[in-house]
Amino acid sequence: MFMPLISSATTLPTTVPSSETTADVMQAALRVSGISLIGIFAVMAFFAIAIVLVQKLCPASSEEKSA
Amino acid sequence: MEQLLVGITSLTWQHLVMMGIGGILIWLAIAKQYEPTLLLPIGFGAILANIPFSGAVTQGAEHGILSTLFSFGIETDLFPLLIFIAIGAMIDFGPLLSSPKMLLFGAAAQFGIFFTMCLAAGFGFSLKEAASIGIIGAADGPTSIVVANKFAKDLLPAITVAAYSYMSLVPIIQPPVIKLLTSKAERRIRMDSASFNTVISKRTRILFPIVVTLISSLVVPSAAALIGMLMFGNLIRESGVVDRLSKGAQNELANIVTLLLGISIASVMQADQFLNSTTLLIMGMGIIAFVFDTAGGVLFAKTLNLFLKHKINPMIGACGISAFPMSGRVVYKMGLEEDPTNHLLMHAISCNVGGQLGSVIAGGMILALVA
Repeated sequence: MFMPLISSATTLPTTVPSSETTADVMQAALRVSGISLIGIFAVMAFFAIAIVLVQKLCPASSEEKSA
Repeated sequence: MEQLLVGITSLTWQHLVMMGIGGILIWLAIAKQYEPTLLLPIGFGAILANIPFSGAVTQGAEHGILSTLFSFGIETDLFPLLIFIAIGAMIDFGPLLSSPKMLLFGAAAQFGIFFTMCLAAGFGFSLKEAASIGIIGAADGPTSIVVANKFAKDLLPAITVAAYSYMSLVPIIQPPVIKLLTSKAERRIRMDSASFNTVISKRTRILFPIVVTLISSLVVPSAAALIGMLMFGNLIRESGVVDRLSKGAQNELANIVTLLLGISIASVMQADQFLNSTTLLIMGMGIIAFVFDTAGGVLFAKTLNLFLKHKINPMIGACGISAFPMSGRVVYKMGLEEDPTNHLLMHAISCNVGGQLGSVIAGGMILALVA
C-alpha cells in the first residue's frame, strides 16, 4: 500500500547538477526540506502510535501501580 | 635567543583575536555558567591551538595531541556517538510515554533546520554545506557534528561552536520569540496533567528504545548509528539489570567524552581556518535556526488549538527543540511567571524529550536525502 508513496518520495531528485547555480541549490534544498519535514512528522506519528500500542499490550501490573 | 622569541614574534592579530574568542568562551562558561562542560574546554583549546607553532596541534610532520584527538574522535564520529549513549542513559522517557502526542512538537520544532538550510543555499553555499549549517537548528551538538563531519568538514568548527553556544543561550533566545508569537492569555493556558499520573510498565519502558530503534532505522537507515546509540543508553538505564553500566554511562563516560570532545573541537579553531566572513555568516544563520525552531513549535501548537477542545499552552511547542533540559526549564519558568500556580514542567519536559528524538531523525533525514 505504501510502496507507491515511498518510491515516489525516494525518486524525487535531491541532488544538484555539477554545474550548480544558487537557484538549483535552493530548489534542491527546498525539496529536501519538504520531504524531510513530512518524513519527520510521519516517523514521530509512528512512534506515538507504537507507544500507545505497546502501552495497551503491556499495561502496568498491580504491583507496579502500587509501588 | 631568536628561537626562544619565535613564538612571540610570529604572533599576528588573528591569533590574538582567536585567543580573545577563547577567553570569551571561558568567561561565558565560568561567569555565566553557559554550558561550562563544553565551552570551558573549547575556550582553552582555542587559546592553545592559536599559539604560533603550537605543539598542541599538528605542525607538518609533528603530531599535536589536539589534532590527534580530533582525527581519532571527531573525524570517526566516535565522540558524538559515545555522548549519545550517555545522553540516552540520562534521559527518562517516562513523561513522553505518558503523553506521546508531544512527539509531534519534536517534529514541528525542527522547522528552523530547514528554513536555515534554504537560507544558506540562497547565500551561495553548496547543498551539503547548507544542510550542515541548517543542522545547527537541531540544537543537538552530536547530531550537528556527525552531519557537518560528513558533508562540510571545513565548516565543522564554526558549526560546532555555533551549535553549542546557542544551546547554552536558549534561556536568552527563546523567551522573546515565544512572547512575540503568543498573547498573555495564551501563555496562561492550563493543561490537563492527568495523563502523567498513568503508571508506565517496566515492559513498556524496555520495549520503547527497541521499537524506536527499529522504526527509525528501517525508515531512515542513515540515522541508525545516532538513534541506536541514544536508545542503547536508554535500554541500559531501563533494563534495571546493569545499573553499574548505566551509572558509568551517565557519569564516567559522559564526563570523559565531553572533556575530550570540547578540547578536540578547538584544535580546528585556528585563526587561518576560523577567522573569516563565512564563520560570521554561519554564526548569524545559527541563531536564525534557533529562532525559527522556536517559532515552528509555537505556531504548530497555535494551529492545533484551532481544532482542539482542550487547548495546549503554545509555549510548550517551543520545547520541541532538542536543547534538553534547558528549553523545558525555560518554558516552565515562563509559565510560572505568567501564573505562579500553573505548573507546566511535565508537559515541557515530555515535549523536550520528543525534541531529542526529532533532532536525531532530522539529522538522519538529511544524511539520507542530501547526496
